[in-house]
Amino acid sequence: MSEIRTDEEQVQALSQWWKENGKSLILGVGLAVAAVVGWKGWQDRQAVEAENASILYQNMVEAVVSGIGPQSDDAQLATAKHLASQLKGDYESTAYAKFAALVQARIAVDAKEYDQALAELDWVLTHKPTPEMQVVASIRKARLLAEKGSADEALSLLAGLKAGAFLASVEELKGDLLLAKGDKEAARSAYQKAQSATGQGGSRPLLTIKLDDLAVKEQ
Amino acid sequence: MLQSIRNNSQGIIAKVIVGLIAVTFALFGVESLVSLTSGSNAPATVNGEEVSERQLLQGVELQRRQLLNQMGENADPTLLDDNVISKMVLDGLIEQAVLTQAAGAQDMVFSDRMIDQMLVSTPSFQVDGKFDRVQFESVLRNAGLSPLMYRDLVRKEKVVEQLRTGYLLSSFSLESDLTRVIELDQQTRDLSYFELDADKVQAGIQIDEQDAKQYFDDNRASYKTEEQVVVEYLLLDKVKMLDEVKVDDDEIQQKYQALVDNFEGQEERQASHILIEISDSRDAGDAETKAQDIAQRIAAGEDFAELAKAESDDPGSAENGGDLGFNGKGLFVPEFDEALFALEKGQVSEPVLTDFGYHIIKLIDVKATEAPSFEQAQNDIKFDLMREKVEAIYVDRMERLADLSFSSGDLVEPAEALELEIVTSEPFTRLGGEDDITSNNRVVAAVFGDELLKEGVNSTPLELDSSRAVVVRVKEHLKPREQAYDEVSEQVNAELLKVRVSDALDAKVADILVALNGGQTLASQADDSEVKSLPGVNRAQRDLPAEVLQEAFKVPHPAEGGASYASVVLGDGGRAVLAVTGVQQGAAGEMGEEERTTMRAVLGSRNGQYDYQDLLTELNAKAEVERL
Repeated sequence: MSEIRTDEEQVQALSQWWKENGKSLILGVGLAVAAVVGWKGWQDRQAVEAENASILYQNMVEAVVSGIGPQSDDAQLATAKHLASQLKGDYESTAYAKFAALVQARIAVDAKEYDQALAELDWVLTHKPTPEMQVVASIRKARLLAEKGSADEALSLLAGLKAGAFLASVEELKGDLLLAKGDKEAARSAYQKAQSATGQGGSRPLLTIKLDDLAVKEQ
Repeated sequence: MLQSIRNNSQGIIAKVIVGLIAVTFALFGVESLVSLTSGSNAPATVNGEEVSERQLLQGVELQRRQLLNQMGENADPTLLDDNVISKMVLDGLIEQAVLTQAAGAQDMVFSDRMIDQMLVSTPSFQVDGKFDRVQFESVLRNAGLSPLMYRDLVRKEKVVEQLRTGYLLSSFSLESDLTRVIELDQQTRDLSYFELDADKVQAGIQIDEQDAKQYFDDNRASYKTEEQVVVEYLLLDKVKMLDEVKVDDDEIQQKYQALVDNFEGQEERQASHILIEISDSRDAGDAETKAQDIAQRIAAGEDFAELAKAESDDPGSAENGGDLGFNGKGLFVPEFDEALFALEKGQVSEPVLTDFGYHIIKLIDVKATEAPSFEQAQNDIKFDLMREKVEAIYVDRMERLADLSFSSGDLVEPAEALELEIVTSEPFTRLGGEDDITSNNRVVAAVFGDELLKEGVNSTPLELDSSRAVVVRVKEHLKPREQAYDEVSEQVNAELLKVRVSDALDAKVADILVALNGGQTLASQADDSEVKSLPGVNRAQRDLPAEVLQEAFKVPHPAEGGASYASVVLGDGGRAVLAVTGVQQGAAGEMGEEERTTMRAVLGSRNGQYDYQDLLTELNAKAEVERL
């Protein structure tokens, strides 16, 4: 700095520097601004998309609640199905779409359309569900497979799961499937595993009954 | 010095630093600097996100209010242990944080717009079917919340709710599930059993003293006396003070007069009005002209109500002929009030100017709220006066009692000074005594506290309820001690007898089961007990002991033509030996379509609850939670 003495010299040095670096500076600033604006815009878009999906989901839940059950209301169910399809179509990557698919599976099961229900669950499984949702969807899928007569396929699906806290549910289902195949011994051991995994989450009365029903004489 | 700062700040480096600070402020606000300096004392963090101390305090306060509300008038604040509440609330906050984070990680949102919409349609925030800001804020204030806090709560709760309904609503049950449940739940079993009476066995057992003493030696510890205290106390009771106060007629008369005066100010007037608004399309002059015109038409005999309907700019009242109903003084703006209260019944005012525009007011009716007669009021007044006086005495004596009992070593001095009687209680344990003073939670807590128990001092005055207080001190502390055999021989004998009977029964049952499994019949082992046969017992049956029923559904299915045997301990100490000879599965086919649908819905939602419960456990297990 010290060698620049007069104002004139300073101005000259500045304009020299500007000539050399001006364009790249403007370009750099421009790029930065564009990146920020783009990023902001993308974020806003994501936020709006998430909000829209959330609203759709909220409406779907309302329709399902008044559509299902003993006083089933077909018009409401149709609305629910329509909203669910919209979620799956327009907001495919959101969690709401996956919940919508799960709910559609349930509506299909209520109508005994098991293939349709399986398709919905598969949709969930192929759309990057969270690990927990993957376990839940897989358990449900296994139950449907068994209902359609493919107990072995169901068992192998369950065998590959990382059950975590869902262990009791998984083992209880294994027990059901094994019992249906006639293997009481294996069923009992699965039920026992389920029973000992239940500990924290409170008791499961039905599980206890199932286990008691397979009691054997003590040696 | 300022000059040197000024000089230095001209340098490039200084400019860069200032520039950076400016940019930081502009982009991230002052918080960015503040948060760097303040250390964290969050009571917990969940995956690095803090559950703040403020949240915890607010939660505790809310919880406390709710509990107090639930307990009603006789709420005892000492029962609201802060530590317990605080732990409960913190657990709740942590769980909420875990869930909201899980929802947030999946980009689930409940936006401000959605919250707005929800608030607007919440009935308790509405007045006359429309959202009302004042109502909204006052409801929140009552709950101890600010609008911002409430919105935050709603946002979190709603997102968690979305997650929950996602799992609950989508769960289902299958036909085969239902069939299996019915098979099991409606299963029936063919049961026979007989009971072995404890009394009969007992009759044959003699306890000799040697054995009893031995048993006592082996179980000495369980024959200790319980810790007890004997307390003395002074009771301050408002009811007893009622005799000491007198109310003379003058006082009653004075109070009555005040009551009457008060009533006179409360006259209510029914007004109708016609409003001529001053608006963009009508300036003050035009409005006045129009108002004058209407006033003249009324004076000329036109019907006020009809004119109000046709001309008034107050949509609320115009429909009703301008009627505003009965109202006391001070409800309307001063100009209106003044004019209204100057009118005679039936009279119509000149146009009156207020902020709303010009009003023409008609006084329809006057309702004087009448003061009760002296005879009606005097008992209430007398009672109120007595209560006031008693309250004064009570407060005064309470203070003196507090001072005296603090300064003296026992209750003698305070008792004399306040002319109270020292009462001595029966001994009682930490569970409290029989009467309403020794069973009071505060009294028990104070008496068994270190101060009173070890140092023998007087307690502070403890309020039992709104009209009574006590000061207690421990007169005698009966520590737990081992008792001699002679003191408890009866109890020892009775207990040993029970053990012997139980042993004898067990031996007998073991023999019987061996015989049964060896092929003997139930009848052959029953001696003189009656064998009861109940074919087709279901799980809900009531005409047999519950223990027998439960065991009957736990024994293995019998082989074809065979039986499964078992024994159980009955509630009265006896035993039952039972045989199950057949199992029939419940018949799913017999259930009607409607009942099936309902049952399936129940099973489905139970599956959903298990799923959600497991999800919660899983998320909690995965979360990194740190507690301070």
